Amino acid sequence: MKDIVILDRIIKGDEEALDYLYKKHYKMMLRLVLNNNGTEDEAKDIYQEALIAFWQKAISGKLVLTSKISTYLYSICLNLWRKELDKKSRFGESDKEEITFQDNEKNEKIKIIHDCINELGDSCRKILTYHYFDGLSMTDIAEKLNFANADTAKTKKYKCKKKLDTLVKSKFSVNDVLD
Amino acid sequence: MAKNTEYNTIVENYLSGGMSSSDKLSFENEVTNNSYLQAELNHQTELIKGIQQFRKLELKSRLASINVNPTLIGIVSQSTALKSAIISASAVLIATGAYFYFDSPKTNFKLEHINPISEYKLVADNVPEAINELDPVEINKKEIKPELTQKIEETAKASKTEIVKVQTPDFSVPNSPDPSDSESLPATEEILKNKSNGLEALTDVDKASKVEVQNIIDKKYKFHYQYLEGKLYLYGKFNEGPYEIIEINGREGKNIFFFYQGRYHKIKRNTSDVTRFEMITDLALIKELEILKGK
Repeated sequence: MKDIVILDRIIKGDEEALDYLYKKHYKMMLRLVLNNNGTEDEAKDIYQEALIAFWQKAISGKLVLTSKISTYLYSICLNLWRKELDKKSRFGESDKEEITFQDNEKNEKIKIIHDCINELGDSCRKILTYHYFDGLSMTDIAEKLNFANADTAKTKKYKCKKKLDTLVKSKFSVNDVLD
Repeated sequence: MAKNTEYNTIVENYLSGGMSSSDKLSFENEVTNNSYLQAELNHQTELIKGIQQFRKLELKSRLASINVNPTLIGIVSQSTALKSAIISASAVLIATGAYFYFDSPKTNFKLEHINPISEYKLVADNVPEAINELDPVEINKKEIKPELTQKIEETAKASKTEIVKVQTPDFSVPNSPDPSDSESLPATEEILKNKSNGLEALTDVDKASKVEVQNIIDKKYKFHYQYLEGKLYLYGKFNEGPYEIIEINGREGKNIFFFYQGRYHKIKRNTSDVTRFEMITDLALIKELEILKGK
């Protein structure tokens, strides 16, 4: 599959194009991390992060590709791994414990939000994720989810967000009481 | 509750980038002074981050579930060194095969002239040994026993049958005058003179049986004839190709037809004038002539 075809499919939100890219360049990215003091798990994580960053950029329509996709992904992977290595080298063990503690609180909140999103249902989940992560317009969302028009999608998104908001707040208030 | 809804709307507007720069500025100022608005802003920001995180994890788990362990075909297709090795090996195999295929000696046959007319001998070089080892074929000629011939004659005698020995016709080419030798050819005027003399000059012609033919090369007449007292004068280059003269004896006399280059032409009796050959177009007549010619 040519790069232009892959890019076109990603812009349309075709997740199978992402799968294809992942399989195609996996070995190359794996070698990059392994050859730079990394493990296979770290390589997988970095490559997935890079692909998702590429996905977000491409689907938003802001990506201007001036090289091959493999070259672009390679450079993202390289930057992410460098940052990771930098983080590893900068923070000592005691600092890591403090960060971990702070992350735990954040992670707890995020876990609640995720549980509430799961409770929303398929349609609401897709609308919210397509809007806040993929950056799709209401027109695109309407088309993807077979809504009548963009206004219908907008109304649906507002209702879903409100519902999520209510759910999360109720869960937080319960947790606050329990704590 | 109503205030919460109002704050929700304003914050949503702010976070989505739907505010003008002046409205944004005033909102940010209000946030610093309003703890409820601040709390709502924080809450909405976390909510959005949570949604984004959720989607990211969704995509990550999708990618993580993909099997990236290469199959044998995958290794081959991705390994350039292996690809080059396979291509080189294939090229060597093809070259070797082509060498052995085209290098085998072939038997060449050709015809060798012995007699220009009828006899040819098939000769060959590079004849495979297997053929040379074959025993020569012996042809056993059967000779007619003299006793048998005698028997036939005795039988014929007894039945009072006359044995007619068939003589094969003489197919030798008659000696016709050399067309290039103008002295041997009668001039047109001479022939006309002969006509006026009542054809006494044509003493050589056997009036009862065959047609005497003479070929005349004339500048003026290329496909013409004269037929006088059993002698046919052909005007044209008829000596260059074969022709046939068919004589049919009918009630009203002899009918002569001239067959040349696949076409039949009627020869009119006693044509003293130099006449052009006329092709016969009557299909029934042509058919009969074909049968007669065949016999």
